[in-house]
Amino acid sequence: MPRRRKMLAADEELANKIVEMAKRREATVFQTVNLILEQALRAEEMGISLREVVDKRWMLERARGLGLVFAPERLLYEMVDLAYNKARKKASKIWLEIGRWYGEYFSDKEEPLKAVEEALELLTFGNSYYSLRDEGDEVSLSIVGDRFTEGYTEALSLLIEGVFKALGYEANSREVSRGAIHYRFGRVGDD
Amino acid sequence: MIKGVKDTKLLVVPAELADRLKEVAVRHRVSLAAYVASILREALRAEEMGVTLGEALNLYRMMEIQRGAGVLQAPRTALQSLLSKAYREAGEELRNLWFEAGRWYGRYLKTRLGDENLIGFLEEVLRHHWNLDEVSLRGDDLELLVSLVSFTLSREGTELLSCYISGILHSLGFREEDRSILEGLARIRFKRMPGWSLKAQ
Repeated sequence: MPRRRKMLAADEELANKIVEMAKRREATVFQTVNLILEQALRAEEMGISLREVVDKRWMLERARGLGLVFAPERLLYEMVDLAYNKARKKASKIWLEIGRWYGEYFSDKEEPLKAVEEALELLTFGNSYYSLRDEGDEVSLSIVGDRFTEGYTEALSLLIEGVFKALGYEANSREVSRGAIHYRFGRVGDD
Repeated sequence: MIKGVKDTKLLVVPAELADRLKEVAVRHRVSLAAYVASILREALRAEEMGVTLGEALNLYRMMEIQRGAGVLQAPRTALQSLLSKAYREAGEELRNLWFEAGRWYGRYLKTRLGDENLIGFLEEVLRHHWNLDEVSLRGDDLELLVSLVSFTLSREGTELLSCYISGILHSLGFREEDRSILEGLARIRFKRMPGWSLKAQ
């Protein structure tokens, strides 16, 4: 027995784009729409919004584009600490230089601080948090992570410092202790 | 699809699907048309990124599972530099560290995913989260061949990632038989450990 069907009203422009999508996928509009709506209900059952789902996909692409990789945090912290214990100066230089590289990369963007913020969102994936505030003559930045080790906190702070140095800032204040980073940056040359 | 009133078109869907969507729309206190429009917009957004909504959902779920495993993002270049410096002085220690981390992660996956296809999930994690260019985990319940290709991973990185995978599969009941490692290229063969069965674990 054929299944009962109903009709849903959709914006014409949106519907036309779905028709094009169906053609690209070499599927019927009926099949394409069904699949899309089924996935929406699946997201609903998982308790998440579709917007959030698609945003996360963007996040992964962005991370890849920035040369970031996912790493198990315990491994990362232990490796960073190992490097810091055995070769602190060299390890510090690496993180500062990489920060400067990213800073140079962000400086070309239309809104460099926005690009920094996007990177911070990626770097604090997991159980850490950041806050970045542009206060006109100063930028204040905080990062906290209760699982950060001393070595990783130091490394991350140097990465941040490198980024902002390349963007033309200098640290007016710096407070770094295990799990917590607080900076206030001012533009170089500002009095 | 049928033309509706001005600027609208009518999409034909199974009645049951329409009813379920209506329930959700009511819960969210939006009209069915508005709810459907928001869904279609997100589907188009996903399409622009080159994925279907289903793929995006699977990835979202994977990221949440990874977050629970304590995974974070780090600059690849920093990691590679650290690895090559630390590996020279503490290679054995690092290999053990990565193997043990893999073992923990394997146990975490078993706990979190239960009866799901763990090998399939692991393959996707390696592909998406470790940015490998090619990944394959082929075999059956008795034997597994893992192949990895990365055009950016160093020799040390390849070695350590192999140790990590070895640890994961050890937790899933596979013992490493042999491995062949080059810079950015790894082939590792595993055999099911005696006494292990999927049901028992």
